[in-house]
Amino acid sequence: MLIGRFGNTSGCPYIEGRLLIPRFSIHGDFSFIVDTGADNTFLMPADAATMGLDYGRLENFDDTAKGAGGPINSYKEPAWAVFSDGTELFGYAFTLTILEYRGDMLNVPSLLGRDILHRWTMDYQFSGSRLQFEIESADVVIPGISSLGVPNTVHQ
Amino acid sequence: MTAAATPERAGELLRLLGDPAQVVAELKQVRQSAEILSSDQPRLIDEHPQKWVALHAGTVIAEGDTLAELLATVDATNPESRSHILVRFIDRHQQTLIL
Repeated sequence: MLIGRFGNTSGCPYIEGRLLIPRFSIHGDFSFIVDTGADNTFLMPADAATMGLDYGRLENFDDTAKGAGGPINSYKEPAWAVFSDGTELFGYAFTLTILEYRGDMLNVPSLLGRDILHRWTMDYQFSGSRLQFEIESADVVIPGISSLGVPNTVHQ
Repeated sequence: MTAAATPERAGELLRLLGDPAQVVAELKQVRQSAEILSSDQPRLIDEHPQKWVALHAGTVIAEGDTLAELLATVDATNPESRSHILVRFIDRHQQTLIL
């Protein structure tokens, strides 16, 4: 089971995980907003800068996305997202949507969308500070450490 | 729970991640950092208002007036942590998000 959290001022639901972009050999650890309204998982500009993304290398431009504020220009990039329950790693191969660089979006954390959330069952109880996710499926499951302290092999 | 990957995909991810045990440990540290963002003791909004902060392993390791300044400080002082930090602007004025 994965454990999320609520922001203490915003009340926003978050969960932590790792994003990897193989084409650029970069990765970063982020606290994603859990966004059941987002079709896709979005990398926002501050997190992109933190992981060292070079926007000049992005190729797959997309101007078809729409948000509450209107059209959104973005780029698509094959990526992995990895989450941990403290003992195992759960990997998801997906197409990451990278928002174009916009200074007015620097304060917005990256979004975990339904492309991944649909593979979990969510237990959301704000009043009890409980945000938990039961994993229904993953593309790859990797045990962290075996009972002997030796890394295990990959499940499929 | 089901997993549906080819051996090639599983191998690809393992190559990208490196030591799984280390990744599990690093993600625990990220979780510790995130808990600071949700904590009332201390409240970052009281200690770092209107600043960008970088958190690593449950500690604020740098602050700056801009994101660029913050990342430059991290690179100068804790370059190995760059891929594992959480960054946030600690805004005294709560923003309303409609995503």
